Amino acid sequence: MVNETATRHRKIIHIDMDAFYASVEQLDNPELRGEAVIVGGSPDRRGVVAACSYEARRHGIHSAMPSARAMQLCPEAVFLRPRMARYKEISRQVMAIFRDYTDLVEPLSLDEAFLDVSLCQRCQGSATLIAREICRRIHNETGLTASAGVSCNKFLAKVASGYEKPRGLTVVLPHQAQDFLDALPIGTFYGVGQVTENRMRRLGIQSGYDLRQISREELIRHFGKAGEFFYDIVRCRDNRPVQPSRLRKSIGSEVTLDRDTADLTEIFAILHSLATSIETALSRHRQGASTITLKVRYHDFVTVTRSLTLSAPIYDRQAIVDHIPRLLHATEAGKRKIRLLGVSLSKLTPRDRRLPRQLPLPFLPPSPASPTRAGSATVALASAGG
Amino acid sequence: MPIHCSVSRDILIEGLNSLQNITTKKSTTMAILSNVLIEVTREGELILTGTDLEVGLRLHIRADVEEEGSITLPSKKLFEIVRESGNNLITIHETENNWVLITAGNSTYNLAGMASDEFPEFPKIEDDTFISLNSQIFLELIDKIIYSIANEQENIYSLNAVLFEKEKREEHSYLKMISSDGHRLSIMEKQVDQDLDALTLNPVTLIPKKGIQEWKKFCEGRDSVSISFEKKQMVLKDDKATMVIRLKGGEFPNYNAIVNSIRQENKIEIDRIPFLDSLKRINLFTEDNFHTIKISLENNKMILSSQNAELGNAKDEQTISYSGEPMVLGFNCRYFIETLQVMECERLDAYINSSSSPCMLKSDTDSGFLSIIMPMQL
Repeated sequence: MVNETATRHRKIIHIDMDAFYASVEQLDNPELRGEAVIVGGSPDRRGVVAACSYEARRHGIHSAMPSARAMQLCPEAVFLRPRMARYKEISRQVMAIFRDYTDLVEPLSLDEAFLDVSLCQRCQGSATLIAREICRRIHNETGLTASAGVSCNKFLAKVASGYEKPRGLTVVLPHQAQDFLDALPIGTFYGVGQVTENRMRRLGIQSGYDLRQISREELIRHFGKAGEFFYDIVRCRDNRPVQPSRLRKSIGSEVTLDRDTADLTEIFAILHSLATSIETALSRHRQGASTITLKVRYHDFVTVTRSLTLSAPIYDRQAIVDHIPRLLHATEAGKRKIRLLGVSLSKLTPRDRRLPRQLPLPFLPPSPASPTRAGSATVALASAGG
Repeated sequence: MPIHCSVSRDILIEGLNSLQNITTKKSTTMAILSNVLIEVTREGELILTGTDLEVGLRLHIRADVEEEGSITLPSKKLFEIVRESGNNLITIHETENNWVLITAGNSTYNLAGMASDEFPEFPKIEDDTFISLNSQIFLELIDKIIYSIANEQENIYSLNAVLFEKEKREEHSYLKMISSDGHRLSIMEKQVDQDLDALTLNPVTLIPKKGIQEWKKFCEGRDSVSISFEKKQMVLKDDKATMVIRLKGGEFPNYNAIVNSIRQENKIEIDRIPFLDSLKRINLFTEDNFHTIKISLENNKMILSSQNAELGNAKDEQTISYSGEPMVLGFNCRYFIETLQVMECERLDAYINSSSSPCMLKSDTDSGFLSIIMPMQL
């Protein structure tokens, strides 16, 4: 139980629904209970696994895996298309339960959230009892299960909730935190993916304890800004507040194509339709954006992003569309087959105030005989492998 | 070959100085590009070469040569050593393994270099038909258009480069530079006495911004330069120095179409310096990003105003010569300031037809110069 007297410690709960999408499907279709359920793209087309039931996980299936691969691992699995509206509906129910305990609820997605219950008086102010009660209420009111982590900062709470899934409740008290972190296998550190894990292991870092032996400078040298984060995290230093109205940082849309294509006409058409849906989102959120990022995943899953930051925010489809050729040009679209396209806008700015807008010179488009080969080599574009 | 030579500090520092902008560009791919190549020849010459693969500069300076050879040394550090040195003779002597001992009076420095064979080869100059022109011509062309080059490729057009053209009209030859950042456009044209037939330009000759900056520096301090164009590069030289600038690929917008689209009817005559001063005052209250000002035109009167959400607002009035319809326009104040600063006339003509069409600025005194600025939508 979190020490009630130690007021200097925050009480953070991280709640994560167990196999959320798949569980909702099993809830709504009782005949699916006990079956390997996979929610995501269809295996004979080209989707990926968005979520899978624990029965499916036993076959080695995990989210983000191509559905076709999941099919190979578990041919008897039931594949379902996601029903986002239904998941959102249940998510709203769950988030409402959280808000009974505190206003400091930071949803990370439909199925997980941080809660800061430091000031909550319910359950005698015990975060552990609050977490237990919340999980019970989720089960009673929705029929779904969740796992919770309780600790003194966001990082520990998040790691703790994943410690014993499903239906887990893991509490890391402040005085246990350092031992808990020391014993943590390096791969389970939040933010450490496969690539970082491999690099850590090459440096001889197997656990939190090993990580703690490395100097701040060295971590920064190896991992950049993330190195600093790791340095603090493993020392139980994480002051990130739970932010109830976490500001949206980007608005985007992406689509896995029905089949790989190198046809630029088709690619442009898809990007234009993505731009349309982003325009709708921008206007719904009453925002403009200054950075456009194009994401391209080639047929071999190599993913690149190309982005560009404008001097003034843009608001509409046409402005997005205007910049797409330049971004696309910096990829190998047309030469290499593409399986996924995405466009996202970031550096969002509210558009409450109507800002003056610099008009562009009315240049005619280049003649069709001279394709837009402008500056393919010199465009200063951010590039990221993936 | 271990290099060993002595060179005058003043000559060396001048050479290294002109290479700094080229060699200090951050290059993550090729560390050797932040080095300067030093070649010492039997003929008593020290050749300094720097390149960022876009612009390359090769300088020949006199030196006392003990032993010929070549090496590359960190450009910035070498420049700093020479700059701080009080002695007017600098000796460079390679000791071993790409280390050099630099002696300047009582100071000695051991500096680590890199082998010269890794240094990119200086581009071969194929065309030997150089035309020699007064540097002043290039300086005037560049100064009038350099401020409106785009910083980045913000467009499908290569606007982060300057379009270079030649033209022959009525037996006269002209050189022309055009730049645009997509919001404004500057054109400058100079008549030249020489025949330009030997100058072989591409259909679209684009000189990158960095190249323009270095071209300008090359002309400063030289009375005349020889110039030649090849398909992918341009060459500037005199007897002591050679600069090679890689041309940029891509397209430039049809600027004539824009120029021709502006009806030269609704004319405003303004005194340049008072207008410039007024703009600078009004700019004190513009917002940082856009420098938006409002220009209201009435009969022989122009009212400039600006508004800043945090500071307040400002207003200024100018007497002009205008007899057209009253108009209210928005503009980026800086665009006007930068244009007026490169103009030389006392009184200029502006043609504005609507709050959403391009505005043209020119004057008879500023012969060959034309500036076009797009308004802002308020």
